[in-house]
Amino acid sequence: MPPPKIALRAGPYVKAPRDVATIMRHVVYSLLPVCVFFIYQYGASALLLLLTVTLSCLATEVVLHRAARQQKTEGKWGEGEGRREKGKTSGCSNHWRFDLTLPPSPFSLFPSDWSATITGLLLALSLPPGFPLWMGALAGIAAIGLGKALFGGLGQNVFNPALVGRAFAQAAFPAAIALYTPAFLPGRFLECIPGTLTLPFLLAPEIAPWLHALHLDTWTGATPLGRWKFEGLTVPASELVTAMTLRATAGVAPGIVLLGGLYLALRRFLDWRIPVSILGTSLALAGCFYLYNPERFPDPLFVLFSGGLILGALYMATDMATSPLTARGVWLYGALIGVLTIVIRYFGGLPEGVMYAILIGNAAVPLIERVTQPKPFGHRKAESRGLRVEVRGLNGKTASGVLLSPQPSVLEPKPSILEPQPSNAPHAISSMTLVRTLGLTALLCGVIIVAAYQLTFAAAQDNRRIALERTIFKLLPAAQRIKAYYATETAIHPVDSAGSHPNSVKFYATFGGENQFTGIVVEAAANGYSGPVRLLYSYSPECACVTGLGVISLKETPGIGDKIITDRVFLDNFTRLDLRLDAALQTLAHRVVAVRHGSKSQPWEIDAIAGATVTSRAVARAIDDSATKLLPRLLPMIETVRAP
Amino acid sequence: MTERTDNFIEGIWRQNPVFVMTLGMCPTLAVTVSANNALAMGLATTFVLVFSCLLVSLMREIVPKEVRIATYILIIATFVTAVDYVIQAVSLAVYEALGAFIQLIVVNCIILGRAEAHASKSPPITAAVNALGMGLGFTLGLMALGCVREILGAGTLFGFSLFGAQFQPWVIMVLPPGGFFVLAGWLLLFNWLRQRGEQTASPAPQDTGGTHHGH
Repeated sequence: MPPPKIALRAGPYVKAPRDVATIMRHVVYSLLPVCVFFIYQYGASALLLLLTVTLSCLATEVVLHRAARQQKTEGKWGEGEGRREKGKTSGCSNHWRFDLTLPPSPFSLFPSDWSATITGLLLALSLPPGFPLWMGALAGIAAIGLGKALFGGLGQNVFNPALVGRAFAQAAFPAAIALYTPAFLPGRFLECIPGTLTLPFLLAPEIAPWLHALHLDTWTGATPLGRWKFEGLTVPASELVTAMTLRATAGVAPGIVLLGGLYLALRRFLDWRIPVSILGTSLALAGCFYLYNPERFPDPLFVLFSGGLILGALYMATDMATSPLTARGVWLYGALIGVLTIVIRYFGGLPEGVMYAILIGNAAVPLIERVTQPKPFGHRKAESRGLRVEVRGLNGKTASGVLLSPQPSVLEPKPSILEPQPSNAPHAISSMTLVRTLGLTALLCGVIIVAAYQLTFAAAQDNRRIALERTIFKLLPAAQRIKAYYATETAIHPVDSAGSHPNSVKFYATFGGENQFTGIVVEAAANGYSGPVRLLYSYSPECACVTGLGVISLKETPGIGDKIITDRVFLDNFTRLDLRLDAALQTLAHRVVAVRHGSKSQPWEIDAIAGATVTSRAVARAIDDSATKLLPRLLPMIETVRAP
Repeated sequence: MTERTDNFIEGIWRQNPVFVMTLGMCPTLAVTVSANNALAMGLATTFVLVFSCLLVSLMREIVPKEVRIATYILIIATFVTAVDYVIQAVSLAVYEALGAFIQLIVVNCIILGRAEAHASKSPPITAAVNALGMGLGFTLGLMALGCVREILGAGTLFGFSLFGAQFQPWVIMVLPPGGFFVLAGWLLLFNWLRQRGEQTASPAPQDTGGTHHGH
């Protein structure tokens, strides 16, 4: 029989002329003007940053792509040994084997879609232009490695890779990522911003001398959002859109990003509903806040055009792999990101919230898709008596269905068919035995605990005393002898035993040579950002003020909250912090408060550390609390305490 | 390899609590911000593990199985309390750094797991040797995380500066995400080593895909 002349083929028969690579390529085209303007703003540093980050992303992609492809090839087209494994590997091709021998041709392994280029460009555009190149390269590796390859490559990732890279950089190098330099400097095309060429693993140099040479001493490195958050200053939206003035510059210009996004939306390369939903929600919410209190909250247009909101809404939130597929879900997703952005910006610790808002939005996508799933025509609700079952296969796919009229055995326990067999059953152990065993064990354990306590008590006590003395002598170098007291509601007692006194304030009178009174050191504590902050502060009755601050224990974020130990400007607050009492000697004349960085005007105010406001407030609260409790009781008896 | 050596080595390599059994993840991730803390935590856990297993093994004949969990917890809590006192006496700085995680050794599943699975069925010496191996394996795991996190996160090792004052610390490494990243890196390395080992052991691989556990 001759072979049939009609070739039988499965659909689809008509293909759209666009594939992933086409769409990605157009996204890159639309980003090019943004990149050009970024380079025009910041010069050589911006160019180097864009190149480094993008190359780092591409290199990571190639290496990991190769590792993953190696595995796939074995399962599908491999010869010899590979073919034998076909049946085993095809079902779970995400088991990687890291075999890094050289490929036959480097180009054959180059990923043909442009997704890693987009990730690199977006990541670079979301970083400050003077960001050290080695940190940028590391962020690129994190973006592709952690954000994409780990999930299984393009289309499998849960989070936008560029934002994963940026979140990594934000957590790893919080100081460098917050430092923006002025745009449009005269020599920007020939000279780099000092941080750019930092050697790998080293600190970026201080930019103050560089700024001084450019006569820009007042530049703080804060973005418009940062200045609004910590100093209460806003910039008109008209300046922010083009970012052409010095005070409005921070990264890319929203105006050009909008044009690029418009192009993509018109060509249907991005879902216009996502940016419309994000920007609309944040504009509406910011408008509500603005109408409620124009003093405290900025005008909505400032919110819209500051920071990375435009870039994030148009290019990052619209990432096809990490945004919902359902029509209603898209609106919901955008609204979630918009609301989160405003909430984080207004009430969070950081000035910018777009990055975390989009990442949280990404995480919510499966849930959003689930609740907005359109109903198929003719779909009925599952029968009430049916048992809904969902099966998850090894390949990650799920199937669900309704088990109608379930078997009784599934839901109800069967009556036991085992007859009681008294002959072979073990004897029940008598209660006496159980109690005796537990009692004996408890006795033995008690003996061990008491022995350990007795053996270590003296040494532990010594350790505590030494640690305390060290802190006190650091605060009051003239002190040589310490006498401990505690103040209760009614009186002041010397501490004679190791007993604890709830609700009392512990303090120490210190004496120097020849029993000369040198000052009082008071214990204070309050809850900080991630646990209690325990402090000691020295109090001088002569000036009725705090003269020094020491930290006993602290669990705040390293590099941020623990600045209260090292920050010179912050510690200067405590050389003469006013603690005078009111006329009736009943409470403090002025409560100790932490105020926004740079706005201290009264001697009882504490100039908070920018970015560590929560910890600064905790210090203020701790001192205020203990001084309010202690001083009204201490001052009438100060002479007794002063006497040696 | 004799049975006794194998009994000791088991916890250090083949059944390493951190890298193979992935048990006790709470202290593994939480206190490994520096090599010092990791070492202190590892030794404290080893101490509790060895003495609890020894005592459980000694009492295995007289404890009825109805109250065995209560007895084990009592014994473990006793040694945790003792180690808590000892650390206070040795160094207040370590005590502050480890914080509540010393007391939380009570609920470390490695200890109850070893008491239940091994010590309650073995003679005292065997139980103690096995517990020592497990404890050292745990310490090794914590140290592997602690060293990497301290070197990258602070540029120091055991408090000694490695790269001078110009080093840029990777703050993320001393934050919780850094713990996850470093643990993942070590797991990747050890699983890769094991895959390689299995391939060289059997030249015609039978199970390159599906049967690996611990992924």
